[in-house]
Amino acid sequence: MGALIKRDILLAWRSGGAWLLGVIFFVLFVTFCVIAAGGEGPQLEAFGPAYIWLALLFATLLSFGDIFSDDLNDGTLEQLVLTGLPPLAIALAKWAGFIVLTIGPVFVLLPIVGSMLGLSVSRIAGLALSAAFAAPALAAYGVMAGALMAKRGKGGFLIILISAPFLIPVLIFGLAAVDSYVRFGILAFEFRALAGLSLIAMAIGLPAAGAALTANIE
Amino acid sequence: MMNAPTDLSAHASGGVKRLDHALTLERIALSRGGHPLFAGISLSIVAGDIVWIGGDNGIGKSSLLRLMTGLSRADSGGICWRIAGADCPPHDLICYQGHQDAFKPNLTAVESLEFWAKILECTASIDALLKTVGLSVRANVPCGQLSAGQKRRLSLARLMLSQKPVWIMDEPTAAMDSEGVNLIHELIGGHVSRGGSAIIASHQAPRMNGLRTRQLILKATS
Repeated sequence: MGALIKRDILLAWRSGGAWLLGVIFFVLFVTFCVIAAGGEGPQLEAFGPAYIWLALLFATLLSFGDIFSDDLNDGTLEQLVLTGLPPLAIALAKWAGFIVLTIGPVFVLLPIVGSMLGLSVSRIAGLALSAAFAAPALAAYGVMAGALMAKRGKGGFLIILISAPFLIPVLIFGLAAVDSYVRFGILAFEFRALAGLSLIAMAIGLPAAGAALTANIE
Repeated sequence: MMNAPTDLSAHASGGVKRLDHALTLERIALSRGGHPLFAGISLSIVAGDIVWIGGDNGIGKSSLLRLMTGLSRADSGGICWRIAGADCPPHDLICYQGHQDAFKPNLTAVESLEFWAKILECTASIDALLKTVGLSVRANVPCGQLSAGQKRRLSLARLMLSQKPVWIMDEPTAAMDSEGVNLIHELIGGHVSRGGSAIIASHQAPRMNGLRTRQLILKATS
């Protein structure tokens, strides 16, 4: 499983920057929101976390279609299954790889973008923590949607339709967690809810992805 | 470039599990989109067997091979994979060379084999394998820059890396030059003579010098 994660990181590194697409989208989305909101002022500070959370969500959504499509099309998935590697383990490796390659770089940029929007340190911390608590859920639903749509290439519109209903609760609690952190710290209810959502997402998303991979190979 | 036959046999079958093995198909039937591909196929493959599967395009050769790998399921009939008299999962028994090479364009030949060696938990010498399949000089070339025949040779190296007793090969000589075709036949010969077995689907029967090859010719169902 570690070999698969390592290979995905190496492939991303050599992809000519394709793995940075999500990061670029994230920065551009927030920038456009700032411009649309008038550039500065209390409105920007009030809605900053929402812009950032939406940008994070869309940036990850953008990458769901790439998780399995190449490996399915070039025969890698069937060869992996033939080595005896369970599809669930493949899904788990892709889940870990997605967190490292897609959510990780965005996570690193969160404090920078947050300070650009004039957010306080505590709100930036709340934002980063909410993203960290939600990352397993985002990746699990991404892996599930990616596996379900792997045969359709990059997935297109359908992949968004499949994953959006699962991502909405994550967005709601993720946003609420930012302000709750300022008042209650990490013990706020929203963080526990996000942790619970992540566990549920992993319990549902990863086995579903494994089953979808088996069906796709067959 | 041709390697000595001794090298070939050593790398081809040196690590193969020498236990008795059997792959048995009983009255297998398969259809695609409501159209029957084949029905009533029974076949038993044991150590030392070479089976050539022939037939026209679209007759179901590749589909039959995929059934044997366990990647897909038959409409009816049964397939049994056995090692040392006991049932086993397909991946304990077989290694498959399909139409797709499963190599990434941005990884070099040696990196690709290293990846598969880790997945297969195999410690075989990658350099020796590349030498065996005649790819030593292309070892550090990205797979995207290898020709179709060279990728085929690389997938042959992965086949040897797997150390599984049954090689299932779909059009192994496609895109191969005459030297490559000879190499494949020598490798299969070495593998089988050391207790392995091979199932080969192709349009032309393999030239297995001195080794008995059974034939299964698929014909269109009426």
